[in-house]
Amino acid sequence: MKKAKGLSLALTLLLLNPTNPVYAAPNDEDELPLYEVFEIYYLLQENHLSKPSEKQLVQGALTGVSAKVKEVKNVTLEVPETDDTLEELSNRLTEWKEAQKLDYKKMGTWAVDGMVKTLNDPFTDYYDNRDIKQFQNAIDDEYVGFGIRFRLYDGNIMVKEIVDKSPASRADIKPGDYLMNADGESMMGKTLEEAYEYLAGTIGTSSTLTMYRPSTKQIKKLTMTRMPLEVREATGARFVGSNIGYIKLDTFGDDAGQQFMEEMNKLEQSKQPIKGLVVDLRDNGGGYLHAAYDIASLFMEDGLLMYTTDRNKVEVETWIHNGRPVNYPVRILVNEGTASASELLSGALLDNGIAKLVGSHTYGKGIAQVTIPAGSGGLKITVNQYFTPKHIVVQKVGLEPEIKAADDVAQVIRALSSLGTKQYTISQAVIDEVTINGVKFPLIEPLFKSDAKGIYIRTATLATLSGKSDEKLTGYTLLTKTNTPANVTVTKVKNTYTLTYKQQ
Amino acid sequence: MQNKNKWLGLLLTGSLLLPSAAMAAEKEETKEELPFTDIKNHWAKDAIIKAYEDGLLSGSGKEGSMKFNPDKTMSRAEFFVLFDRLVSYEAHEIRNFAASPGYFEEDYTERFDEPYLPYTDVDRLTWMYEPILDTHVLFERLYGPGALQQVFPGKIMKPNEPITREEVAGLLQAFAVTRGQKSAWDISQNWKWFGGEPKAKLKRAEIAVILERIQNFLEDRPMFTLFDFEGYDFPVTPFVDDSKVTFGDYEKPTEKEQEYLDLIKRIQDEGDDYDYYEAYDELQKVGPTLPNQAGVHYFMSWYDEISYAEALEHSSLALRKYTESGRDKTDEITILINGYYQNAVYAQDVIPDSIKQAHYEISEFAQKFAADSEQRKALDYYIACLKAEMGQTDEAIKLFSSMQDNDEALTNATYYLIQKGNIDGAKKLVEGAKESTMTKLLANELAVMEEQKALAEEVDKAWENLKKESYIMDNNQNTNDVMIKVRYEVDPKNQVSHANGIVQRPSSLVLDKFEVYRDDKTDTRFSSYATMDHVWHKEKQDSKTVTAVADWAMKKTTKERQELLKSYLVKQSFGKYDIITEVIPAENLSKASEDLTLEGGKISSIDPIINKYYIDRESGKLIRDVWLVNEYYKELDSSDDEELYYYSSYAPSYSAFGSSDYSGFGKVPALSIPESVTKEAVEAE
Repeated sequence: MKKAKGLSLALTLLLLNPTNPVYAAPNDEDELPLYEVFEIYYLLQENHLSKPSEKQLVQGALTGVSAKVKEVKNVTLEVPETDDTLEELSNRLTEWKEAQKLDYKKMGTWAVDGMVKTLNDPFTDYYDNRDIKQFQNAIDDEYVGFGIRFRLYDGNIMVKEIVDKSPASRADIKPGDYLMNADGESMMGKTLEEAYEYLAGTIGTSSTLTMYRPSTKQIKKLTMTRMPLEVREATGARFVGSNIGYIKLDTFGDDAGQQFMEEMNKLEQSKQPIKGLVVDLRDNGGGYLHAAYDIASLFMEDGLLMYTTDRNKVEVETWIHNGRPVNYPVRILVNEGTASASELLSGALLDNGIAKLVGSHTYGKGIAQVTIPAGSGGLKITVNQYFTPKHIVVQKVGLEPEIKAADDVAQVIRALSSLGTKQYTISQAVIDEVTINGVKFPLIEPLFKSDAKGIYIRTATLATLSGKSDEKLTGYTLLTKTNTPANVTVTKVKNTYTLTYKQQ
Repeated sequence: MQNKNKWLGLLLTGSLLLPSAAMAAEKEETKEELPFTDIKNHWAKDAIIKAYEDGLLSGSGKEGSMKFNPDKTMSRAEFFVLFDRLVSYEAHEIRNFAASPGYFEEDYTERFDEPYLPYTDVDRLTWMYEPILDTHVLFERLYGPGALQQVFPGKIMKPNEPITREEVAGLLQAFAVTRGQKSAWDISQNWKWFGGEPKAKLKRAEIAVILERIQNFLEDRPMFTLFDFEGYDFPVTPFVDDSKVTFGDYEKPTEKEQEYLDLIKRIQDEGDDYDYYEAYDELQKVGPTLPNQAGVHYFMSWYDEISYAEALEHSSLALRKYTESGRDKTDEITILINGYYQNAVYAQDVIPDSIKQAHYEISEFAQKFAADSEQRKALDYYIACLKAEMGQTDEAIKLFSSMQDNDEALTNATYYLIQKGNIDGAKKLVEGAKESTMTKLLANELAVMEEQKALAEEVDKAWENLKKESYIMDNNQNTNDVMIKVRYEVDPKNQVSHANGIVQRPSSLVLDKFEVYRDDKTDTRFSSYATMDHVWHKEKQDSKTVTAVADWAMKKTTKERQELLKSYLVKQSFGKYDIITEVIPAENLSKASEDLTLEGGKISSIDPIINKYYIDRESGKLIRDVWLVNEYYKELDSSDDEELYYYSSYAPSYSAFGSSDYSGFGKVPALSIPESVTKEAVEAE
């Protein structure tokens, strides 16, 4: 696949034919937004994966404007079926502008939104008036921000973790809270990637977030200022007593490959080199393709990373060369929040026989976007579909792990178990964190609870410990002599719960 | 201060960022402030300091207490880092010679498939990867497939092993384009870079000394000592250092004298751009009131905000004022006359008599000195140069030939003898001179001159051998930022070829797919593109308009190009390949373009075209060729050449680079264009 990153604005503008009066760059400032509509029209028409037709985009643009005019002015503007060329679009917009005393700037935004809507693709988006740099670095910009990591939970954006010493750590936000709204933009039904993009911004800027806490049924508005954060994209650890390493990757940003390698080196070059590795890609919504490439190259000397195709049905193989092989088994933890670059990496390591997937079915985002400067902002546009090395379709399908577990604690146990771990010590000292064989994991819901009757454990986790499937199990189970497996003991000392489990 | 040799200029710009050797020397004089704590009494101290100042080698530890570890070995990977720097800082020329697109390389990849290393123990995310990969790519370009593996055989490089003399020689051979088949080891001995036991490990101090020798060697223009790329490389003049000159003796300067000294110091330092121009502003204002008018006019003549005519006037005045001052120091005279000469050359397009004027005034000045005086020798050099510029070649040759132990004079004399077709005279001259690196370089190149015809025939023969049977051509190219990767099946008997490929246009975010049939009998092309719904289009080659000068030139045989365009060929042998590099001089391409109807209009400037042919020695077959082309056009409505020069990056241009690999000899079945294609095809516009 060709890097499209280098495309400059000047090159993009080459799409416009300067001899045709309709497309010529306007002298009149006022007409600039209209010019931007044409530019984005061309970018979509010539590049979008779905090959949108001229008519589709023209009708979409007019419908977009018409709907907004209806909303704002309560005037109905008919969109004639016969308008299907760019010239007709231009004429119609001019006509409406004159008749309704509208301004091109607003009309331009509405028209672009209308065009984008016809694509039926949540990942193609135009960002108006945003700093293009900030926009392009949306994935990296976690370095500046509020310090919240999210996960997708039942289709909603939920707080997964709070970064230490971040603005969020000083505000009243906890794991398990939902993000409902950001600066007036509803976050319901948004993807993780989109949510992060909305929350991105430069140092010193503020946003107002509306959060919902299910435990208290409280809705809160919080205004926070973005600060520089010290966030690592990859963090590593080692499971106590088993020589199994653990690397969690939160995003595929610019430093992901380098950091992942550093963590791997620490685990491999220690006195006791690891004999197995658990890679945690749960709730990792993706990022840059080159980061996925870099990380995959830490697992194989040579190998196929993926196939991509574009609208012209050009299939390109992306090969990894000069990587380095691993000599131990690998498990990748995945869940419904594992998307895009995470699925790409999972699929590549799976199909190359390097790793097995553990967890629940992945998100299913098998399309790739490029971002380019366009108009007065930037356009993120879907241009490729990708397939795993065994030609497996990811888009709208997702990957089904071979070792299944829905519960987040059970996922770790299953992964370790498949690497030969027999003994487990699982402890919970605070309600939002659990330690499994020495490695800490954030908790959305506590693993243990207790009341006068005794200690409760998640029903799903208990099923796993009993050697059963945890599928579709929710809620908590009071631990009794009869339902506690013989090889499991649970104690509570002060506020700390400790479970030991010895697998047969 | 300035140099009219563009290729050399390129080299100098590369090293501008780095402190000069003079600066290092200055430091030593004032205080023994060494960059490393462990080299004070080391035998290679000077070379180590130079390598450090040039940014080639560094030490370990904190600043202030850095250690160089002169007697430790260097790993292979570390040497690759050093080699990569050496190529970038000191020998960008070899990238040109390798027909590599150079500066563009980082932004635009010529291949859809990124290059990678044949070694399994060099990993892509490590610090050593890029320099080793760069070198691999360069070696593939210089010497053909698998070149680096001739130096480091097999699939294991062992990058952390100490590097040996033999391996260093293997890499450094890239700097010596020498005739005939010589081993890397012989090359390093021949140029006296180093000798010793091939398998011995080199110490860091020894490497610093080798570096200095390589740098000195590169200063002699080893690639093409006699070859004039741009058409104005000759006569060559030595680099003249004016960073210390004051044109006076100032032990106890007066206030005004001090003002003069301070101002010229700021100009000589050339450090901070702002201060440099500020100093010039002041010099322009107070110049007339200062003592030492010779110096004032000399420095004013280098001010880049004045016209050529003004600069020439300042040069002339500087000489007059210097004569009046009665001084006669040879180094000062050299600096003054070099300045006058350079300015006269710059001005000659604007002021037709500039050379004549300079020649007259300098010859007049020369009369003051005895024929065998030092001053006269220095002046005669520039007088010879001016004569050469005026077309008085015989007199120039005579003067240059009479100068003993002068590399530049010898080079110039040899060059002009060859221009006159007197190769025997040139050979005699070189043989008669005292042996030096330069005489060896010249002898090598004279030998190359003599085999030009044979080399052109060899290339044409390789094409013929290729076309004896069917073959596959894998082509990767970038033409005006349009990137194409295509595989052709070629049936030379039926003169039909069939291709499938992909193309990336700069205006597009997605790839396009295409299929082509070509009938060379009728010069017809049938093509179908995904973006045009795979409809077959028929195109007949138009013989009148030419896409680019390069396009026109490349349709000719190597021999024809040699006759028409005076292209220059040089052959190297490496492993199982003979590599012939063809350089077509810019000047001749420019001249030839005047008779062509080009799509882009008239040529404003053009770079030399570089082609490389890789020939399998055993079969005599061409197995690969690469090319590098850059043409710049005049804007159709612009007549202002000067403006175009400044804004040449915006002017329309044609740039192309790429490579073709030939394989599968005799394995392609007979081809014909399917009727479905010829019938369906619509005429292309």
